[in-house]
Amino acid sequence: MNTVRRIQEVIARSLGIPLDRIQPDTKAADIAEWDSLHHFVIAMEVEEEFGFKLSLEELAELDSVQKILDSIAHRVAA
Amino acid sequence: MTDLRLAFLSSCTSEFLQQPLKSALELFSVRPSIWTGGFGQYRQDILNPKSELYEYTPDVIVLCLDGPDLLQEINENPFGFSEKARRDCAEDCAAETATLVDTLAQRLPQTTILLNTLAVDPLNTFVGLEYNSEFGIQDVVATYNRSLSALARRLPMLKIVDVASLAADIGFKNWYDSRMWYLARSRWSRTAAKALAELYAAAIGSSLGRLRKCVVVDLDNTLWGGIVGEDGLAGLSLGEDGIGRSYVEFQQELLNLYSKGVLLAVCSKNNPEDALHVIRRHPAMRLREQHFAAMRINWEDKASNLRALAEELNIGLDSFVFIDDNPVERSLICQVLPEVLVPDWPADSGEYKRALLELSAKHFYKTGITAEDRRAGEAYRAQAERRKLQESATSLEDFHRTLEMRVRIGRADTFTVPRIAQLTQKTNQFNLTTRRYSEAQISSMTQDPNCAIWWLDLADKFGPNGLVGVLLLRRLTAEVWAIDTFLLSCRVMGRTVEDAFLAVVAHEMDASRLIGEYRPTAKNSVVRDLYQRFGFHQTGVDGHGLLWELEKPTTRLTIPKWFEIEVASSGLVSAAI
Repeated sequence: MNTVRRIQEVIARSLGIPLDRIQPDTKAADIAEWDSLHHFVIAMEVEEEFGFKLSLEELAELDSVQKILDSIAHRVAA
Repeated sequence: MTDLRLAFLSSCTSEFLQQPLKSALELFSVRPSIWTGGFGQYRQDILNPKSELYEYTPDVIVLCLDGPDLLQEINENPFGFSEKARRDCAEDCAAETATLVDTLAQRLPQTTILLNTLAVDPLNTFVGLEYNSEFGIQDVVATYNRSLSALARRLPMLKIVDVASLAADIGFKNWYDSRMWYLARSRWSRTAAKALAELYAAAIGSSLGRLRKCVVVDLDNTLWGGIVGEDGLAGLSLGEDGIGRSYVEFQQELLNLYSKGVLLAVCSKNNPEDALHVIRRHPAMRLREQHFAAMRINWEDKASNLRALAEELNIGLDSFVFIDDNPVERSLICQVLPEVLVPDWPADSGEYKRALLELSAKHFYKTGITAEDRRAGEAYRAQAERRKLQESATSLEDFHRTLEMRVRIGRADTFTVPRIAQLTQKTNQFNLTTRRYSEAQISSMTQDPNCAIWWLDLADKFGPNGLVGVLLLRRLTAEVWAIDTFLLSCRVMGRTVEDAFLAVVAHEMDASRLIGEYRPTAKNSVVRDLYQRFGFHQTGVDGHGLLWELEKPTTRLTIPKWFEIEVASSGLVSAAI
């Protein structure tokens, strides 16, 4: 399964919403459920799913599918 | 699934506990709806009598006061506090917490309150200075935590949840996530939130009586290393040194469960003589035959054996925990008997003790040990003796007479509240209405003049049975009482104890009329015709079941003549009234 797809699944699972609401260009602002609380839930799930720890700055700014992809690309061969 | 109204009051952000708490409570078949107070508002929420908290009427309140929040002054000025100043700080914190809890207890007397012990990160500026100099912080934590014990003893609805020990177990470096603190003002890492949620869930499950009742253990490679049929007694790994010690310590923890009132049973594929020889004769065994409420040692399949154990012990399969080193056996039970809890068991006997303690922390979480708990194991053995007597008796009346039963009946008081609540939570068969009550609720009702809670204690020639009956009545008018709860432990069914109980209580209450209710469930059909037998007549049907009435119960109800009766409240001893 490709990385983008895995990210979409993590987000959909964290927010309890259907997968098709998350697209590669989705940002937190686009999704009502993706509030400040769920921001952290998603971040923790991303760490768990991909096996790495986000830095303080990354965690603060992880508000879109693209940003998540970037943080993974830095670490793992995507 | 039980619905539960839960209020969460915290000194720091608690949102991240909600989802883990909901998941953890599912294990106990509890579905919470959660109300949270505003950030940092817990004092106002508690002290303001008109706050939303009181409108919400929670069943459980979690009051989560985090160490760093209460001790903020010291953290910000670590060397500005002398020992005396620190002592004052600890006492002030303890006093404030006591005031908050007392206020809650007064305004919500039926609500269970969970309060945590404080933990502070041991990696701090006092490393080295602590205990050796005039500076430190551990004394404040210790003084505060010690004060909670006195608070819990005073207030039956308060349960202290030892978060400090949990944090120590997890390790503070895993407990605290600095990113969550800086970005979200939350002090818990994902791991901490999950562990904390599980601890709170266990405490809540425990207050509702959702504990397992019996641990069934395998023998070979579970209670001892080796296979007795092949290695013989002398060839087993079981002793005070080396690998054998891992089994001894595992047995010791099982023995500790026995002392807390958990039943132990054996289910093993072996020749009974070989296995019993080890249990009776091996010098290093901590568990002996008398500690097991029942045994199935044979060559049949374990699922059938477990069913037989459930029947013999007269408890549901959903009360069992099955421990077996063999993954094939575990998998079988998982598939065939899904209500039985089958924990994943470590392959290494060195980890058995910890695995059992982790399991107990969830499923055998007890905040008190009643006298009946201590005797539970013995009680099952005495039960076997009574069954033998019954089989040899020439008539039922003869059996009742030769049992030499002595009944004590009294009004609920602080001492009997925990056992009464426990009985309402676990009794399913001889239970007319199956109303479940927490300790907080029973305690509150003892103060209500329109409520009368009676207990019954039974002893016979085989020994004490302990407190085994509860009658809870609610006043409808000056002399008319409704029977809200009438239950007897299944161990004492079929001995006419209920006849004595109701007759004595009716006499003590001087009731002119008694109203009874029968609410049918899957398990209580045994009492469907109880009120009819006592001469009540049926007055109607409501949404829940049948309603019954009895005029002049003091003349209509008689006490069977084979009982010796003592009413504790008035100190009377009489053979018949």
